[in-house]
Amino acid sequence: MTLPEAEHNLSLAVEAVVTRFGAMVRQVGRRYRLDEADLDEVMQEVRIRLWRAQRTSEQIGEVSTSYVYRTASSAALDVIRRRRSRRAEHHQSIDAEDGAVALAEPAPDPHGALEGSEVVRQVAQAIETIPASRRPVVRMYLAGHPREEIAGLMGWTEGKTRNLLYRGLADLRDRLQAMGVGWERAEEAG
Amino acid sequence: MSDERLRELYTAAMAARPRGGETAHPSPESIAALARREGSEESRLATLDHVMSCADCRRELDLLRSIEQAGGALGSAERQSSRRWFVPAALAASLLLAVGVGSRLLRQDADTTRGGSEDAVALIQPGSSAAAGGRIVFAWHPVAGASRYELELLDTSGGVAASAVTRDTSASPAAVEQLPPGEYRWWVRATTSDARALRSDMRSLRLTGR
Repeated sequence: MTLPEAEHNLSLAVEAVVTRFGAMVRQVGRRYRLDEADLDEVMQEVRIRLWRAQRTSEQIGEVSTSYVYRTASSAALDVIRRRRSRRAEHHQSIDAEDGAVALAEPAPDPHGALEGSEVVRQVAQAIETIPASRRPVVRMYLAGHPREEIAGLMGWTEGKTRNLLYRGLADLRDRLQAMGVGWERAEEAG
Repeated sequence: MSDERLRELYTAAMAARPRGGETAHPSPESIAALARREGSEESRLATLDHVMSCADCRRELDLLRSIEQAGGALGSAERQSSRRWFVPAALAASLLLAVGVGSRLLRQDADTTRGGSEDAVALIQPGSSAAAGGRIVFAWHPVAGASRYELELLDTSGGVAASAVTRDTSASPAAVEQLPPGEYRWWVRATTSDARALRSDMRSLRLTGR
């Protein structure tokens, strides 16, 4: 086999491995609102790492799922670190450029909007008072995640999840009522 | 107030929070531990509490847990498959690979690499080799709606040996002219006006001595 042929076969083998794993991540990620651009960035990193591994196409073809998974996990962490670093630099440059400029004042609100923003603020405050063991569950529920997903993420039983969510929502209801905000009890949470 | 209204208010409250606000983000490793269900429940709850109130960290969790679950699903399928169908599957895979590689090789145009999907960037030139030390024009087919293209040429260690950002569908990075003979790979990423990123396959490029 000539060098270009070997290179070409290597390229096909890497692409096959990356495509297979990427397709599965996409399929799973649809449940979680996965940003496809994030996955593309990770899978490109996986391609580069497999290429760097300097294996032959036969070896790449035999690469186990666990190897690709570990490579993708590690690549995802690196992508996240790089992105955070870029965000931090961006914030620093904005701070440096606009240090003396005050944040824009919000536009004058009509009465209804002001009232709404007050309730929004109260809800945000009330959430913070829920005990730490229940607060994340309530956050997930209010963000639209079903109970089954919460249970799966935390490794809890259905009963434990339901119990924590029920109590957390009760805490929130009590707090909001103390603030003068009424709330009809949820059917779907119980 | 109904649950639905409460959800709306909660969404509004989260949207009103300053992005990248003053609270420290959990480390990427902590978010990965949450996705893998590793560590104490207390620490995972603390991470989840932040993640669910931070759009950036939530996006990171979505990525990491998608990878975790895909790894688990594929690993499980692989184990089942190897237990039940090891010999027939290996034979079938070998046959498919041989047919797939063969047909792809036959179809492969010497100067055109088609992308893995209809939306990928299709590379045009150079082909598999070019003379080192001279100007090399890299070209690709336009992508609908692309606002810019990024070209990267990687050396064998995966480092970026040359790169270019352009709105055009070709580029000639000056750094390429300084590169020694050897094996390289290159690829192009297109970014569309609606912030989608599309990529080409990686193509090998051998720079030969004069």
